[in-house]
Amino acid sequence: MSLDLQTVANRYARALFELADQQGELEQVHQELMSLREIFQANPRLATLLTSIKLSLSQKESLVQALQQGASQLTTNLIQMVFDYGRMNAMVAIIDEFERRYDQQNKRVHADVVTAVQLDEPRRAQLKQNLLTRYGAKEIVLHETVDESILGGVIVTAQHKTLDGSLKSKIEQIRRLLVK
Amino acid sequence: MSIKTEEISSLIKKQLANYQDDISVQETGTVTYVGDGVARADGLENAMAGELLEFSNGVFGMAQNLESNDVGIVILGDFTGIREGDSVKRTGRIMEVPVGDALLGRVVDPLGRPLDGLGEIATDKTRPIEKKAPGVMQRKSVSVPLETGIKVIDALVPIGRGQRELIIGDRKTGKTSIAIDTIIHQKDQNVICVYVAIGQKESTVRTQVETLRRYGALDYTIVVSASASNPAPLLYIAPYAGAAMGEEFMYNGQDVLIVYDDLSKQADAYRELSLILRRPPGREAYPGDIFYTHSRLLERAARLSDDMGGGSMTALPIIQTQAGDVSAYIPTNVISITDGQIFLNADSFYAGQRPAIDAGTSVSRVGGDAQIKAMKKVSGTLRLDIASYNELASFAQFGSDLDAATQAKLARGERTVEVLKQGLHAGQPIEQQVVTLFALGHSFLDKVPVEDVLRFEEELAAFMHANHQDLYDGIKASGKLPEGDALEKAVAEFAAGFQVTKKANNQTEAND
Repeated sequence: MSLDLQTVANRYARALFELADQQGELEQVHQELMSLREIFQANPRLATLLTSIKLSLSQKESLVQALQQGASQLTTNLIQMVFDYGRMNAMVAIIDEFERRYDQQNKRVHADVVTAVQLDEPRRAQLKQNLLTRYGAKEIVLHETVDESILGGVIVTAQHKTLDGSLKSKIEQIRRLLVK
Repeated sequence: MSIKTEEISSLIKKQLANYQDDISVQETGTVTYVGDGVARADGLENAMAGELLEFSNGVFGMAQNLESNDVGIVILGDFTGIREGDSVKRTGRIMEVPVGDALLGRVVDPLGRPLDGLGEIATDKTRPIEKKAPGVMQRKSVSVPLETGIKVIDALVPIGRGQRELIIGDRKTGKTSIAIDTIIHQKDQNVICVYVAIGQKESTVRTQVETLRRYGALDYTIVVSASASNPAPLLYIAPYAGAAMGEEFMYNGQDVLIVYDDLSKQADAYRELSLILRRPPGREAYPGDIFYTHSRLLERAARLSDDMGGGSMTALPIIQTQAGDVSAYIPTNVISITDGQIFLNADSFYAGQRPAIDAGTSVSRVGGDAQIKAMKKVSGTLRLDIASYNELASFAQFGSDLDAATQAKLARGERTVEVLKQGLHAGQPIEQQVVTLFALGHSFLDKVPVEDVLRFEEELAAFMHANHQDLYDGIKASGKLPEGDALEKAVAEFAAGFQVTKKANNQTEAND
């Protein structure tokens, strides 16, 4: 049975993370990987192309070289190795897993925030402060989306926990209370 | 009637006062795979094994496989509405079903939701469907009989309250009929019955429910039905749900009879589930823990000690065999778990021997202790008689001249087999069975032609009712045969007046 994506990503990410941590290049590698992921996410077909047989080896190598441009030694090596082993389709998963480990070490928490209106600066700061204390984190990264159907309040999803403080679900709760 | 606005608004006010403005905190995961009644989800890191989970469209699931990267969830309901990327949240509850008196007379699904259209089930009590069976010190040995009303069972393979007796046989040999007749016979015996139908046709279940209703047995019966159209997870949990409903009564000191009809279908459902969850297959492709699924279920049948209230749960699991093959995986497993089996033989069923119980291979390992003394006395040599008759009968087919002793043995055997025949839904009280077998054992039947045996039995019962009800009452109350020769005299009195039909037939033929 072939290994699933998550297992593959775990192994590469752990090796890279430990190596970068040893060499004290964690910050830089993290930065580079973030921009690398943006490239992959902007071009969804890139990963499949790099593992497919539609392109010749030399064509693929030139693509890989373009990716490696300006990267540090560790990142260059990672890209080369992942390419050589034909795991380019796992690249995004590897970066995700690397980021998870990075976040864990730096106590950084990603939070998906859904609001009815666009957050303004003071409210955003207040929300961040609240979440910092709730999760005991050093840094909160917000990913904001606006959804008018929740009417008001805020829904925060972080670390597989959903904090639902939206007006919509409160109204629903009251409705259930009355109907019962 | 006018609407009283003030009253209503004060009511709403009261309810609103209870409302608490809380931010709901829920642990959620994301569905990464869904298909064949199984979903996998990312996240849900703290989910417990067997925990109830809720998908975003309201369908429930049960956490089954807790793996390093994801959680395997079996979906208890329609899985076509669930999509990849949907959220699934923890409920913090282990699977549980509603229990209590309100369930009596109802037909419910394995989650305790009504299927009979008689409205909501008004109970606030619930029990987890998976519960550890009572321990060693919480039990006591089986001592009270559970009468089935079926002569051959009560005489040869007696069942005690708290016992687990397997009913095994090919398809269409009357397995379900025995179970249903047993339930019907529990009327006025102070026994609560639970009938769990697993993987059966909806029409069959409907027929059984109607039968129970017709005989007034539904009032003390709960029917749990996971029909063939339900997804495999529901079939798998159905017997556990039924056991939970029965346990509620058992722990309250009552006697319970639970029928699992049938466990081979449950094993098949569990095999399906396990294969889709990618658990490694074992013998006959059943998963490694198939023995445990049945043993932990049947262990829950028990006779509780007096400290625990003295309740009991008798289990009658049913297993279907293929072409009489009892050495297949599931039959051997369940035979080894239970305290005996009732083996139904397709050949004797088609030969007209109904119930088609094979006296040689059917046994009850603990029920003998629970049998009443009178029955023990009259049924003592029955098994041997039948065995030697079968042996002789195959020998006598060659038609050579037989000596008188052999002929007498054959005649007795023929009548024994005849007397153990019994119609559908025609349960008999234990005292009537005792008197019938007494008549057989004391040679009153030897002179009666085989065709007249069942009529003899019927008329004997009517005669006893009319003239010697005191003897019946005595047997019922004391559990022993009457002192002296009162019973023998009564039966002899009836036998002397019994008219044989065959002679009359001969005469009419002669007249023609």
